[in-house]
Amino acid sequence: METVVRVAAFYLLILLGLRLLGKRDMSQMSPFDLVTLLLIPELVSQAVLREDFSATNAVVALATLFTLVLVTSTLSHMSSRAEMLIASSPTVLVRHGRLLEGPMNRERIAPSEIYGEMHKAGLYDLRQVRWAILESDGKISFIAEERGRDHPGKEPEEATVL
Amino acid sequence: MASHDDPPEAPRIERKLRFGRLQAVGLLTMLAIPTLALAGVFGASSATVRADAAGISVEATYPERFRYKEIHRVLLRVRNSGSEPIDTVEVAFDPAYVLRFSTPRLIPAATRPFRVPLTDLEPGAERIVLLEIQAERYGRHEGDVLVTSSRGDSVSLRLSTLVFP
Repeated sequence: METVVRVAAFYLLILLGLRLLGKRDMSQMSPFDLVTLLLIPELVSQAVLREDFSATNAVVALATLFTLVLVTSTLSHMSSRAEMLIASSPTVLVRHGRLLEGPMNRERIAPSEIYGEMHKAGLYDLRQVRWAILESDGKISFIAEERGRDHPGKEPEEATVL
Repeated sequence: MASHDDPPEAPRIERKLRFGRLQAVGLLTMLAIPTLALAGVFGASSATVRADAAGISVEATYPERFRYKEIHRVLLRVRNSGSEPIDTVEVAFDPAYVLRFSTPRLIPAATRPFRVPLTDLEPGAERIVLLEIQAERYGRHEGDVLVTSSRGDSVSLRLSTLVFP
């Protein structure tokens, strides 16, 4: 019970601090990313390594972690079923300028997020987007509409994929 | 992505594993570490040694392997295996062994450095001496435990401990 309260308190405190610092200082990652990346190692390391401060323990832990990464990537490569379980398949969020609400709600992506990524891709209007795809790594890729269609778009050679 | 108007899917290839020679050697080494760890190679283990002399029987259980900063004990059992009582038995730990560790603690307490007297051992009586040690220096540490009775009989046991970094 106390653990839950303490984790929640520090999560909110760090999130608040990062928000107060502003977007400029945290331009590479979202506050959520930072909080989880900062807190997760701290929470897990004590449980994993316990009171053993020896280099032997650290080497065994590292080798075990790398082995698990190797096993996971090998399984994922050799079996398409395993690949789907381990890394989710891409999801189309926008098709021909239209937001797809079902996939967006499933993936918890807000329209403002899509617009933010669109701007980074040099697009300003949803009608310029043929497809917006949430890839397995969590990034959103954009395939622009070809010019000459009914939709305003970029020149094909200028199409940008993130 | 199931719609007919979705981006095309990636073509399929025959999936195989390919490793370079050096990479394969490195990966096998890496795989060996957790395997050996699961087998207990890098963990703590203890060993027991025994020795007898006229009227004295000694058994020592000591840490054969353990890791830096871990705390373990050497357990010594001294028994009067003869038919006559023994006035005094002195247990002496080799300083060369004990001083390789930090915070050594003897139970019962030593009267001289690393020497514990045991008195009035009746025939068949057994006494226990504990030496608590914390691993401080890496490598192998060796030394003897000498148990000497007031009658002049003595028994020596060799202790050998490996400390992992």
